[in-house]
Amino acid sequence: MSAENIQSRPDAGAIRALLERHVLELPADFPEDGDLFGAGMDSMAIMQLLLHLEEEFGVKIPMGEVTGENFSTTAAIARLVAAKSDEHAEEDRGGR
Amino acid sequence: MNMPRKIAEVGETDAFVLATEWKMRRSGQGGHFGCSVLELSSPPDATALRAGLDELLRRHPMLVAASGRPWPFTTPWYVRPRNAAESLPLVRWRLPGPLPDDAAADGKEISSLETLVDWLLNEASATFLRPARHNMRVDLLDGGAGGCWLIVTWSHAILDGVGAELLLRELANLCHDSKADSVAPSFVAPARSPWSKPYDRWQATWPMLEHLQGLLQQGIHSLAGPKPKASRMRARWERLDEVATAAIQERATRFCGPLIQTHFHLACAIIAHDAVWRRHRGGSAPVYTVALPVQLRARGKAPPIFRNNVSVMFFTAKPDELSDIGALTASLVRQQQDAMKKGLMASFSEMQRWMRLLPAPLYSFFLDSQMKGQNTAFHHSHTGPFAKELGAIAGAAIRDGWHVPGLFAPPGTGLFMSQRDGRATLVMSWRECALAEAEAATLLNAFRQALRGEMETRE
Repeated sequence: MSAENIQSRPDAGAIRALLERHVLELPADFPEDGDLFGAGMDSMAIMQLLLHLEEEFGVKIPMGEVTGENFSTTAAIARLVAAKSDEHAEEDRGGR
Repeated sequence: MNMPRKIAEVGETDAFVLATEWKMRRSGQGGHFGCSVLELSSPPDATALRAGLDELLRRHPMLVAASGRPWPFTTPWYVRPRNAAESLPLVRWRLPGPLPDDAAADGKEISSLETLVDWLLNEASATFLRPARHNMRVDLLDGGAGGCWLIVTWSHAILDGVGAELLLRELANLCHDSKADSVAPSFVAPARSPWSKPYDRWQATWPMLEHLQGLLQQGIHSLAGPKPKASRMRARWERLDEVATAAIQERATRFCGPLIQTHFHLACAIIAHDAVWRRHRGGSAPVYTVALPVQLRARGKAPPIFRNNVSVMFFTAKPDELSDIGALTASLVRQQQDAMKKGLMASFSEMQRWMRLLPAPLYSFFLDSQMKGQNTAFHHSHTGPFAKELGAIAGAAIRDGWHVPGLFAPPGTGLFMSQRDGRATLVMSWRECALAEAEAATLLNAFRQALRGEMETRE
């Protein structure tokens, strides 16, 4: 995916769409604060998700930040991706 | 062709396990069985257990299934054989010494739990086929005041470790209430290929075939060597206390975060095997190539009880990478990410779908000729919390539980981990043709030391 296509601050809905496209089947009424681990998210699913987050939103999540809290809900993942996007943007500005 | 009643379609990985079992029986290594051990606080209610087993068999005909296919090179099936058992064995044993009043006095005496597991993994194997076919048995060992152990021995030909834990939950539920809903579907149809045209399906296997060719150029080196030999299964296990378990967890978190620690445990298993090579075999192996099973079940759907439901991911490490466990762990993470980017798991699954059409002898021949007799340096898995939803069975509280996987040589060695109530259990399985006694001691010690950071590594 080219840089201009990367949506850097996805919301919970975009994360959910990505999860359903590549990683996990969620029930239609699954809320954005619903427990993803209870819905079947496991370590393999997270490894897949990390790749897709990098590919689709341009963020690389270090393994140290792959925590239960950060990956428990679509809303939490969206917050993490937004925070990492901001960090990357800050680094880019600092690098110029 | 007159074929017995079909039960379920053999899956991709099931076919691999069936081929492995064929090789095991042919080379005098018995069947492919694993034991799941539950340590109980008191003897269970034997009547409830018997009733639970009867209901279990009534619901799940896979527990007496054999494999077959209507014509050569067609889809294989699990079928109900003519000699299918009418009930599952429940056998009672007791440790030597006086028993309390409420313990079973009718069990056969055996010296220890270890001896019983050894017997189950070796001698009991033939009893699964004749006179009546069954794929599971239950043994109860009464230890008097020391508690009681319930051992479920299961055939790997019909399920894997995840399935075994579902089976334990199902049995526990049915012991309690014979009308309870099943914890999971018995089986589901294997996933179909995402490619419809045979040419596309064939092309889809190439990424994995090329990857395997690359691995084979470096070689695959197990402690058993490439030739299968008749030899006994052995197993040893060790339960760590809460402090040691927490220290390992903290260390794993330091190297790969709190949630995905597989790569750290695998790094430790590689370092432990290297210790055996260095201390007993004259030097490190040229490279450690490990095929790690990866669960393939559809996320968000209840997995079936009966299915070997994995793909495989290959990891490599050279001896000069082993002195820095942090760097080694990071390298293993990168290797997994690279493999996923290249779509190797989907390619491997497609390869297995083609291979599934081969009868077991041909499957084995093809695999051995391609892989030069060895497909992994050793076996390893960390199955996480052991049966965490399960607190009691047939009225007895569960104090601990762990799997003792059986395995084939080559590779002939395996290091496994699981956890229950904040305590880890390390399990080492091996074949006598792969490890001498002193080497086995080195392997388990080195694994524990690597996990706990007691080896000389840079950090």
